[in-house]
Amino acid sequence: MTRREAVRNILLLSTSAAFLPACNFEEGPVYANVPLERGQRTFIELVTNAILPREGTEVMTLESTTDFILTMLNDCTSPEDIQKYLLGIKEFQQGVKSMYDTAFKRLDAEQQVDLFTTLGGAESMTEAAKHFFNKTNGLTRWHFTGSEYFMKEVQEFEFVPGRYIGCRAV
Amino acid sequence: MSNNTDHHFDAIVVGGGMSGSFAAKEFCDKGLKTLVLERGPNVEHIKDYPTTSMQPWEFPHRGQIPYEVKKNNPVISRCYAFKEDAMHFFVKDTDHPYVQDKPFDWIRGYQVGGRSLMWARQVQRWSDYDFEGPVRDGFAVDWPIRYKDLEKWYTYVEQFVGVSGNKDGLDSLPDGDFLKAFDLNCVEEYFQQSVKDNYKDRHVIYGRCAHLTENKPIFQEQGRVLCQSRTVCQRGCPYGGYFSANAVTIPWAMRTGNMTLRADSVVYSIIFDEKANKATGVRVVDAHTKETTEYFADVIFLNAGTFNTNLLLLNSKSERFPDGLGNDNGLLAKYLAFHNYRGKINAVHPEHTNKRTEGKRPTSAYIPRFRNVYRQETDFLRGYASGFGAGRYRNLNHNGFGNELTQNLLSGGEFGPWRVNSHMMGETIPKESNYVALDPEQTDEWGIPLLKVNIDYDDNDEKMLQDFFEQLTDMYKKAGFVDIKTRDTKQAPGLDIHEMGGVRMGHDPKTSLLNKWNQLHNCKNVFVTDGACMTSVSTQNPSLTFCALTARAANYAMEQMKKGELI
Repeated sequence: MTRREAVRNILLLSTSAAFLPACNFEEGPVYANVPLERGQRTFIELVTNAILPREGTEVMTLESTTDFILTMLNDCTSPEDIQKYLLGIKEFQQGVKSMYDTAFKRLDAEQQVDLFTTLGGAESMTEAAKHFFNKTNGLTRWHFTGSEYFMKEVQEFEFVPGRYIGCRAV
Repeated sequence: MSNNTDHHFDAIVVGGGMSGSFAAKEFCDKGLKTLVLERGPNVEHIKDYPTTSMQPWEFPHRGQIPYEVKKNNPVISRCYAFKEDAMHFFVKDTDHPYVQDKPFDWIRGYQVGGRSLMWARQVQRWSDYDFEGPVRDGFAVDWPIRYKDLEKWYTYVEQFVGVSGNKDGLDSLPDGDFLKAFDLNCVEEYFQQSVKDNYKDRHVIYGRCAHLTENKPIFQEQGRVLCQSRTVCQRGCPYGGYFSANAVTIPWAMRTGNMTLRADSVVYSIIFDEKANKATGVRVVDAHTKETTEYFADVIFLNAGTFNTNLLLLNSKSERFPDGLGNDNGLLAKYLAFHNYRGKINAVHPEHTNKRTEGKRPTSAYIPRFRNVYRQETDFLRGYASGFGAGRYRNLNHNGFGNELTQNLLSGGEFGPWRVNSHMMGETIPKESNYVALDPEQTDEWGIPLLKVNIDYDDNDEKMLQDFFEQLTDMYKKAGFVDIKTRDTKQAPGLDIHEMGGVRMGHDPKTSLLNKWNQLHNCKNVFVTDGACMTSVSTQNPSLTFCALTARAANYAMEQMKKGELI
């Protein structure tokens, strides 16, 4: 198996049935195990951008953060946790409506940060809503810190260092 | 020695992994037409390392194993190296089931190269404190060999595979023919000195590993270059920086023109000729077509991996050997043992805050066994070696949300304190009650009985575990380490991937299966030189000893063949 074939196989596995017809209304790539309803993909993208905005940074990634999240949900998450996540999207949106009397997308950046900061103790946020947020939050940060730019430029990652120096000054 | 027809060879080697490939190399170098049978697919050096050059961010799951794979394969999913980058080299539970009478995590790699592709590459010699353990402490049977019997073969293997290490001058862990060592880091050196200052017979040394750190003509001839410190060895190394059968012994043997390599060939049983009183060949089932073929040779080496070698002998029944080839005494597949890896201990080192490391390294420090070496001093038998490592990493600033979080992360964070860790590698005692057997009813898809595994810890292992915690805690405290945390992983036997025994060596055919040359006492042209031959297991990572035993036995076999003894 060549490297090219391996990458292709892994990608096929990761998005298996990604292009099969699905009984929902979401447009774009479909993740078979994560049946999103119309607008939910955009909503996830909105939340990830609010958690960790990348505008003005040089961080480029092979896939969008939303696709990374959906891939990890689709391939590496139990059906129970996926259902909880999907329920959580709706209950998170309801919680925001209850707390701010408006939709998440209408909150300004300061309100969004305030929401995220206080969400853990918010009575309007159900367990599923918190699950959705915690999962999205964690995967968003992982995608960012695991990117080529971040690993190379911020963390000084070298794939082939060719050396080990056991003691040097910080 | 001129057998070279399609089905007739001078030698047959069952298993194309660590020790089997070494046997093949020895035979082929000396001109023997050799058939190597491997039950899994071929894995060619470089060509079949599909992930070897992939960057971390190129893996769709960033190393994670998909949920369905984990759910359906709980045993292999517990292996530390079973990650997205190398999962294709490991046997899935669902593909090759076995019966666990007691929990045993059987970690396997069915392909040409076997587990030598993914091994941890630690290579320490045994000493006479190890070989004399059974007879001194009254367990198992006496090893029929001593260090002097194996010493030159250790050197022979080390010179061929390339081992980086320091000459430490320890009688409990003999020095070898080493290439230069990677550095110990400042905290490992600090701990080394602390242990030296506080204990008479305890040492912290560099962990000798099968990585090239110097160029030598033999390595150029093998087509290998220096280890590049990538530390993604489990993917297969395109540089040949560490020793694997795929990078070294298999292509070496192939270049002689004397090796026939048959992948996807499941050996069903060994054919025994009652009139000639010797084995004449093997029955092989094609992994895909299920067609059966027979191959014949003067000498047969079994290197299928500890459990599968036991399985093959058990399944090789004849009128002469109704309970399995060579099994007159009923001890075949009993007295198995392994290494107890349950203990871990971590701590923080508050000093050396102005120091860090740079680059990567494929090994760490090593603490040779210090318990019960020179005399019995505890209420448990034998002892444990320990890995030891120190490292220091940046703690990213994950505080906040929004632009604040972005900037915090991009700031790169600050170095945290040095963290130190150690894990035990305890010797377990081979016992008759630790055994494998053929399942009387269930077979695999090739018609071979499933293996039933009945192996467990005992009270000796529990006492040793507590001693590891106590002694390492004491050593850590004396070094000034803080926030010391011990952990019993409670992992089942097997996850150490060091299962050994079942076809043990010994002096007496009544109490052992193999003689001092790794020959079956009762079927002289069958040799066992993988982990199944081990009479006891000591604490060292075992592959180097398997290879040394293999090279020694193969050369003995060829001497005997020249004399007409085995033909």
